[in-house]
Formats: sequence, C-alpha cells, structure tokens
Amino acid sequence: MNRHETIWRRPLIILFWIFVWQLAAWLIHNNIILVGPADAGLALLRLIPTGDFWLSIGHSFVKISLGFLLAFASGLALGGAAYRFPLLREFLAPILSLLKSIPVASFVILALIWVGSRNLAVFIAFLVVLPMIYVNTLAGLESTDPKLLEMARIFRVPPFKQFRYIYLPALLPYLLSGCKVALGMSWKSGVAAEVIGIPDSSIGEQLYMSKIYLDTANLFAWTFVIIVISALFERAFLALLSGLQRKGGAVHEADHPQSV
Amino acid sequence: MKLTIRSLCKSFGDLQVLNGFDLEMESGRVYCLMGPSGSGKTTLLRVLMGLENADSGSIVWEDLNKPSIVPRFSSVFQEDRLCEAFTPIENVMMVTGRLLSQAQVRAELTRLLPEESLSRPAATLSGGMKRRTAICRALLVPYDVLLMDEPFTGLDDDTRQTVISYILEKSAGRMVLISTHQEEDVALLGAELIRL
Repeated sequence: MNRHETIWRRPLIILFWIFVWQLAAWLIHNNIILVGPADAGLALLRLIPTGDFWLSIGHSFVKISLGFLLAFASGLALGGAAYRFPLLREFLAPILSLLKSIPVASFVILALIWVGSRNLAVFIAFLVVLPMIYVNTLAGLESTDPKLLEMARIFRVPPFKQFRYIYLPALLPYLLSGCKVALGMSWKSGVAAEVIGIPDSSIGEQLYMSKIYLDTANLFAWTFVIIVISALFERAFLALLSGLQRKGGAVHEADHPQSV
Repeated sequence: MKLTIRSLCKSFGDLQVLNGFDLEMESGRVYCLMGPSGSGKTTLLRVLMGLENADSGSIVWEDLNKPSIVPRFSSVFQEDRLCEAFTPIENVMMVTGRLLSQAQVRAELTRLLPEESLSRPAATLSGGMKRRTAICRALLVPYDVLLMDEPFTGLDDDTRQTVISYILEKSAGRMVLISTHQEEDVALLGAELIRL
C-alpha cells in the first residue's frame, strides 16, 4: 500500500459514513427520529453566532475541565501516598471500589442534594476520573524496576532525582493511557450530569431543551460540539503529558491502561 | 579502611550459598573473587552492600581511629542497571550530582565510549557500551569501597585492557572487590585472588 492511498483512505471512509447517514435520513424522512448531516450542520450554523452557544460551551468546559484537573491532581497525590504507605492503600480500597461501581445517575442525584446543580459537572467529572488516575498512578509506580531502586540506594541518589530518572519514566506511560480513557469519560459523565441536573447556561441544559422540544437537529449539533471540545481538550492535555514523557524519557507506552 | 568477615553464612531456603566464609581486606588493594557459577559471589557482594542480610557471622568495617563505620559503596551490578531512556551523561550525572560538571562527565565518558554514543538514550547502546557506562558511573561517584560483579562481561580484549587501566587509575587508594570468571583478569588488575 503506498502513502498516497493511506492519506486518502480515512477521509474517504468518513465521507462514506456521512453519505450513509444522509441516505438513512432521506429514507426515514422524519426530522424528529433522525436528521441528516446537512440539517445538523445547518442547526450548528444557526447556533454558532448566538451568545448562548458560547456561554454554554464556556460554562461546561470550565466545570468539566476543573473536575478533571482536580481529580488528576488528587489521583496522583493519593496514588503516590498509597504506593508509599500500603496501609493507606488498604484503607482507600473499599472507597474506590464503591466509586467504581456506583452508577453515575445515583451520584448525580446525590450531588444535586449535596452541592446543587451549579457545580454538579465538577463533582461528577471528579468522581468518575479520580479512581482511573489513582489506579494508573499506583500501577505505574509499582511497575518501577526494583533493581534501579537498589542502584539508587547504593549510589545515594536524592529522592527528587529518583523521581525524575526512575519513577517518572515508569509512571508516565500508565498515566498517559489512563488519561486517554479518563478525559473522554469526564466529558461523557459531566454532560450526562448536566442533562439530569440542568444547570443554567450549560451544554446539558441545551441537550435537555432539544429533548423537550424534540429538536433532533439541535441535539445532533450539540453532540458534535461535545465531541469536538472533548477531542481538543484530550489532545491538548495528552500533548502536555507526552511532552513530559519525551523530556522525562519514558521509552514506551503502557500496553493497556489499568481498568477501573 | 579494613574489612573483616568472620563465619559468614547465607542461605536461600534450603540452598546454602555462603557457609562460614572468612575474609580480610584493606583499602588501597584490589581483590578478585573467583568461583564457579552459583558459588555465592553475587550474594557476598550484596551482603556487603547491605542489600541482603546474612543469616549469621560478622562483617566489621574499621577505619583509622574509628572502630566501626559504614563505608560509602559504589558498585557495578551484575546487570547494567542504567536508566534506559537517558543518555550515558545523564546516567552518570544522576549519581554524581553537582560534584562534576557536564563537561567533566563527558570528558571521562569519552575515555571509555565513542563520542557519538554519549547523547543517545542508553536503550539504544550496545551491551558493551552499556557496561562501560555502568563502570564509568561507579568510578565517578565518591566512594570508599568499590564492588564490581563481573564488570568485563561483553567487552572485547582491547576494551577490557582500557577499562582495567581506567579502573586502576580511578580507584587508587580505595578497597576494590571484583568478581570474575577469568583468571587473567587477576594478573591484569594486579589483584589478590579470593576463591569461593
């Protein structure tokens, strides 16, 4: 297969599926059940110039990103502490099992009672992402080569350098793989929480309104927006981590993130 | 500095590796440890560094005017134990810290390694290059006692000569214990032979 073929293959496959989508919309011929890409695109073009569109995006972006970043920092800190103190790890195990198994909808209702709808997305994104980062941090640190740690002990390498040269290269591939999953999940759960809690000026509220008014074109347009923002945030964050990985020197990416 | 080992015993489960081992060593001399595979050479080095606990016996380090001290060790392990994603310069500077500048480390490494290999991640180096990096790292860190576990593995005759000269130059005045399988190393190092 030559390079020319590879470059064109992906866009052609995407075009094929857009065509299938449009064909399905023509055949169904009912804008409530399914709108085609043309109608969804038009709905998006109508949304873009409005102030509400940008306000909703800004609101949801800030809340969900904040929830993710807080969970990232907390997961790193807790994972590091649990690696250092095995008793803490045992202590946290039941809480993390609970966090992993409780449905997001239950959390959302609880969160509505506890924190109200305003910071709902922050809270939900935090709760969904935290176990993923924690588990991958712990797994990454545990994958550190004990022989290198022995070497560091004999050569009296200070803790900061041990972290930079030994722990970080072991940790980063796991963290990168975990973040790939967690970033997508933060957006899915954050927006789902907004649909249930309907905070003012949020993407969730816009999706809810689309449901109320059976405005499928708007629903598709907003879904497209969520996918784009989620992908942009994911790329920006992963680029940052990958930069650290190149600088910190991890050689390979973990084959599989630790599932939670 | 003087080391006295008396009746040292170490076993792993039912396998007795060291059984009543006695030894005396002092600074300024090179000792070669020889014995068949599985005779306990690596175990002895690990016990001396405190990486394994002996089952019984005594290890006493003495210095002039100080009856009991803990020496600073340096080591070439059986494996290279390099941080694979980092260059030979970074691997050495990780242990030397601010004691040596990057230019000094580079100058020392070029005595054993080709210049072009110094900016490549250790993972991309040949086995012999990795071994020489590990040897250089062990010799540039401050230490009282140097323990080397088969340091010449993977080195051709010419390189081994160069490495031995470098070891003798850099370890002068210190206590050096090298485990090896080759009798000729003992002569090249001007070492005292210890059989296990």
